Amino acid sequence: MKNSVYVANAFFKTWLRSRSGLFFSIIFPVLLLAVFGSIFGNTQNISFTVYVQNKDLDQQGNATQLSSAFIKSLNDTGIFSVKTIPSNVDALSFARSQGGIFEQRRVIVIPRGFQSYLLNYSEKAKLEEGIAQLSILLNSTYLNDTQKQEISLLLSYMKTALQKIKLNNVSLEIYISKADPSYEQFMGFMNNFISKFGSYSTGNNLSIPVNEVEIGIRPISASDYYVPSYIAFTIMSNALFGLTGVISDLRRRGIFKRVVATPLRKYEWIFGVFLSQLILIAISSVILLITGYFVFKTTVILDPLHILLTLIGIILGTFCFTTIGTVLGTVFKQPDTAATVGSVIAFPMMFLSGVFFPVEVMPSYLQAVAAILPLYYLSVGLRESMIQGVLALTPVALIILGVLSVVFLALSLYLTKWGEE
Amino acid sequence: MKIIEVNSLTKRYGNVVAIDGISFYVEQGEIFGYLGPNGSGKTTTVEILECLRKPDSGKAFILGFELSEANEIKKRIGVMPQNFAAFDLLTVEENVSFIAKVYNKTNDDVKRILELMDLWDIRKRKYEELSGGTQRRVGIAMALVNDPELVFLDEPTVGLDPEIRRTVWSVITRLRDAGKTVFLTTHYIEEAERLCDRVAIILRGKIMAIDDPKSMVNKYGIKYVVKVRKDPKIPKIIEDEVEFIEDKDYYLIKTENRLKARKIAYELEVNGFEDIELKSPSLEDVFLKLIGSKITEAGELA
Repeated sequence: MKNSVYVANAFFKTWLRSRSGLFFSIIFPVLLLAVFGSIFGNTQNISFTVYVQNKDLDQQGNATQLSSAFIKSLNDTGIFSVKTIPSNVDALSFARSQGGIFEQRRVIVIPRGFQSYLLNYSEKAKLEEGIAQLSILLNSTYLNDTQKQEISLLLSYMKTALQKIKLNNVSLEIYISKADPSYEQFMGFMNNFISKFGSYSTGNNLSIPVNEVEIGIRPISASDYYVPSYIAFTIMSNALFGLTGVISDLRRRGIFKRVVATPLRKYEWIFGVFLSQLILIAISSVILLITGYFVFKTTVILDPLHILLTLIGIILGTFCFTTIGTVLGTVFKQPDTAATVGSVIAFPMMFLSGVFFPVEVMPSYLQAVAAILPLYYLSVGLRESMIQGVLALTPVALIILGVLSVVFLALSLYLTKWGEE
Repeated sequence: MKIIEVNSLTKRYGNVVAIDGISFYVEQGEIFGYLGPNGSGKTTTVEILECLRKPDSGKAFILGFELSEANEIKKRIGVMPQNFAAFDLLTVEENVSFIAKVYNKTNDDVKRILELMDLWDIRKRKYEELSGGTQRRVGIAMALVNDPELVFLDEPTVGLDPEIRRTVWSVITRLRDAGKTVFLTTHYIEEAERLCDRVAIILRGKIMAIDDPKSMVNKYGIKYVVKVRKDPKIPKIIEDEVEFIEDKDYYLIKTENRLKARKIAYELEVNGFEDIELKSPSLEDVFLKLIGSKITEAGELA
């Protein structure tokens, strides 16, 4: 392994002194972060996007009057920008998945029986009030017996009616995360609205029960999104734009032959190349994190498990792309061809893997393409473990990167001729 | 002592026979020239001996080891591949040191080599900033850093202008003085003749001749040539028994005897004839006689 360190040292110094290498590994990702972080960074305005799912439908499947009124008034407040989602989707997973470009998915679900609850409540309230007034009247002295009998009869009808009113246990569900930067404001406005709506719709001081569901995922800002994305991007671009051509060039220049003619082993060479990539990714990542933290207030999850998974992701990703770069640099003998092939692979991957914008905004057939790209798994894995704190796709992502690493390691060991044919 | 011993070595690439049952040996301490045009099988031979390729058949012993003992061989040989260029952005010292470390050599070893190759003063310069000749010296330094007994230099002066080529030659001669055995491939006949103790001429994968350049010249009956611009009076002056050839504008007067050739040249001079040239027999003549054509600067047969 000592020999790998010497190889890494030679590659690393070459990279350190090459202006284009430095540019693409350090300056370019930071520039991207600055540009995209600023473009999409100012999403904190007064209007909160809220997704409403209306489950209060009549037998024909139409929204009930009161639930429609709820949605309309919510939108009319001007504070909420209301979008509706179909009644059959799972609100929790919808809230947990990343929306359009850095949209924070807060969902409010109008339950089945919402209208009848409000109507029943209103009726119940009226009956109770009627009963109370009639009871007072009944006890007054200026009624004759016949009148009292009639009122008693009325009262008993009303009490029976009151008993028949059953208030279903319905409550509005709000899917949100307490880690949402706008949580306090959002819930303040929302609770205020709900209580006003309850009063106006029933004519009483009804507080409609609200059930808050923690979605367990932090809605992320643009820079939160881009820091792990650009670390993933740098891992890929270093290997496919840089390393591919370098490997091919070393073969052309005979350095490779010189190295093969030493006692250095093939695996020491490949490991050394990987090591050099890992060092420069580490530098690049730290610079991106620092820029993100100080300029864009990127928040990183700092518990040991997430740090560990992030590191594993970076190491596996670097290994996977290093071996891909090595394979390309070995298969394509001309450095220019190798670099071009690297770019041809890198460019579509870059745009389809959710590095620059979430894959959810793409049509479904392109999302299917993303699902076969290693960069997609690398960026999702890093984003989840570094920033979001959920590990939904991370285990799968790490396994896929691991498998790809093994495949490309085997290929690069097979294709790198080391004095045998 | 035989440092390299090659027996009926054959290598094919598909249907193309790159080297065809060649046999030769290299003695300790000599500069062995492997001379031939491009595509004659030089690099294939070298790369087999460096354990970078495997032969289809035949045997070879390098420093007493069989080719299968690649690691033992690799530890003991130095290599400068064809068209070698080191890491552009590393300094002279870093490039040499990189290879040195792989051989477990110390910084002192690096210093010793850099001094030997006159590179110590420019050790902090980046490889890409160096002139062609200096770059070759770095390449040779990288080949020597493990203090090898045997050094393979594959076309070490190709692409260099003649003056720089001579400085590289002096470096190679110094290797022999330091007791190294040098295996040198080249398509420059002059280079083989000037530098090499023994030369093998290879063409289309076969060795056509092996010997020291002088014996080769003698063996193939190459003559001294006096070249002079045509003049009808000349044939009358030349009395000795010589071979007399008429060219378009010149006479070529050939003899095996050096003194006789000089005498003819002198007489022609004295009698006022012009454009007189005395050419000693050279390896180029041997090559021409054996192969029937010359090698161009680019290494092609012409």
